[in-house]
Amino acid sequence: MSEEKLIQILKSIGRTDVPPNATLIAEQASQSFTAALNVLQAQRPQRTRFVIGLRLLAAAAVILIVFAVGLSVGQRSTPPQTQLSSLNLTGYALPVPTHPAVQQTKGGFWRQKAIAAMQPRPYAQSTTKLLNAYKQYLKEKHV
Amino acid sequence: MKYSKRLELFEKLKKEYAGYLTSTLWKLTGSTDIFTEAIQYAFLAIWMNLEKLTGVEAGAYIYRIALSANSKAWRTRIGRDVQIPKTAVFKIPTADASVDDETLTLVRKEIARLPEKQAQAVVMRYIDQRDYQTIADKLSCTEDTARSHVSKAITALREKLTHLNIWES
Repeated sequence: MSEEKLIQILKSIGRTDVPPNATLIAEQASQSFTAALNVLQAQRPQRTRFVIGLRLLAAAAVILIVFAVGLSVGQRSTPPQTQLSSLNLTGYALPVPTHPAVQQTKGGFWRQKAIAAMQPRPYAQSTTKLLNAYKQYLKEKHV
Repeated sequence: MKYSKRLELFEKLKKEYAGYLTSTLWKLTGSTDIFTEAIQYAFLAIWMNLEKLTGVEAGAYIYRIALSANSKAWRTRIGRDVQIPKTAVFKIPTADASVDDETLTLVRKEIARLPEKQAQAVVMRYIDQRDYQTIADKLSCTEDTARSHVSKAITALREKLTHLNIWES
């Protein structure tokens, strides 16, 4: 009984005629919606130009910021200091510039070796190492 | 899709389905306020889903849009003020004179509160007078499933309306 009545109500809803008011309301809603869409379309090119301009401006700002940061970092940094200047060279012979022609003279090779052995080396911590190197040179020379 | 193309397609769909939307939404709402809200939701949904409305299943999708818009409008109305203002309800000419306007309004409201598939199935079956095969095609399911949806919807409506003392259980 109840189900039949419910189905009857549903069917009666289905047979409802659409009043002219409803058609009018639908037409008005449709027109106002279309008008809103047209307004949006008219605003669209302006918005697109604005967005493109904004993007270009942002890209330029990023490039400028990166350049400025690089410049400031470059100004603050100092070149690396050589270890040679900080060594104590007291009592050591200064390096003698050699000419390639020296190598051709008798004993030129060994002289260069000796001079090289006497050069201040960053890892040379004591004078004993240098002395040993000189002794070794003398030994090798007299062999 | 370009905006101008979208606009063109929207106008075409609106011309094609405006009558159908008006008829269905009026039957399901029966009130000027809710109908106005529902038809606006329907147009908005059509605009938002234009890409899906170009295929062969556009009709079925429009049906879903109409029922979703109806539910949304009823939900908004129920949320705003629980009581449907009687002044907003038209005198509805129905075949069954014994059914009063208040009952019709409550049945409509309860249809809008049903789960989506059940609402679609019961509306197609009894309000649009479609057969089960058509309902199954529109809902993309089997005929048995469509019957099940209709049956569940009727049971749910009966329970809700009995609870509201519309008629004696």
